[in-house]
Amino acid sequence: MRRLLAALLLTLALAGHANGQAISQSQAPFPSLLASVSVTNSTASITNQTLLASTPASPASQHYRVSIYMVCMTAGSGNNQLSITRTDDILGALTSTYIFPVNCTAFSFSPNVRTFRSAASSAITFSTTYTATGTWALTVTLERLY
Amino acid sequence: MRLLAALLLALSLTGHAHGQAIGQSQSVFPAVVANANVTGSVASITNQTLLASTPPSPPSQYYRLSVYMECTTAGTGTNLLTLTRVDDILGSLTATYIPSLACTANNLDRNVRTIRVAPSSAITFSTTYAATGTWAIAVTLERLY
Repeated sequence: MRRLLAALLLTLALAGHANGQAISQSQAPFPSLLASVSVTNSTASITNQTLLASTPASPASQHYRVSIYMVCMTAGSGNNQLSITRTDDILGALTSTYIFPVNCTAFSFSPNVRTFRSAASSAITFSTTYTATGTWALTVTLERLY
Repeated sequence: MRLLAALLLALSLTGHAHGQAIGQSQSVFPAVVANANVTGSVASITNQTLLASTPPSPPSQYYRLSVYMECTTAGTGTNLLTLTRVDDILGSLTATYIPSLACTANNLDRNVRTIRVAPSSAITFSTTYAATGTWAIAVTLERLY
């Protein structure tokens, strides 16, 4: 009982709560790399590729980081953009553009790192919207931060 | 003799030229050292401590901050997020890490930035909130070396 009480007090000491706020330290297992994708010779839109089929069942609010590198390998016309679809723990299902339209000129690229919140037990997918000719390569890694 | 071998190994792992140090095999890094999850925020947040004190060594440390700020209930005006720390070269610094973001429905910003930090110094964040609306903020701080 004393051990349980001590553990509870330690937990409370590490986390401050005010107006829905929680600050904590010592997240030893994180960041952890959960998924990576390497696509080459892409010449068409990619629809809903799964990065993570289901986030863990807890905690209710999770924080992820996605690192994306998209490069035009063979110049063409038009552009390509990348979107991430996930379930925000507050706002629900969201699809956001994480790489805005990049023209496919020789060696044109976009190297973005972005974060998002996610609900428990939900999928994280990405897609590209490709409008013309040219060849693309795409690298995506997904890390969980808490 | 063993001491000499260890010294030579250490020197081989670190190159020095014009104040430059390159090291490999930092297997313990990156390491998440703090995170904050704020929901239902309707007012400015002043100087919330992410890390009360960085380790006493080395004299120059490197951190990465991942920030996600979203408007959860639309309102008027804007919110911005700033980070305060002690740069190991420039001293105390406060910099805006998420510029003014209008609180329209589902509007969000998701920045990843890095900072140099002096030893034994605090890292805090604050928000400057100008009007109505409700915000959620997720912040994760990692040490890179």
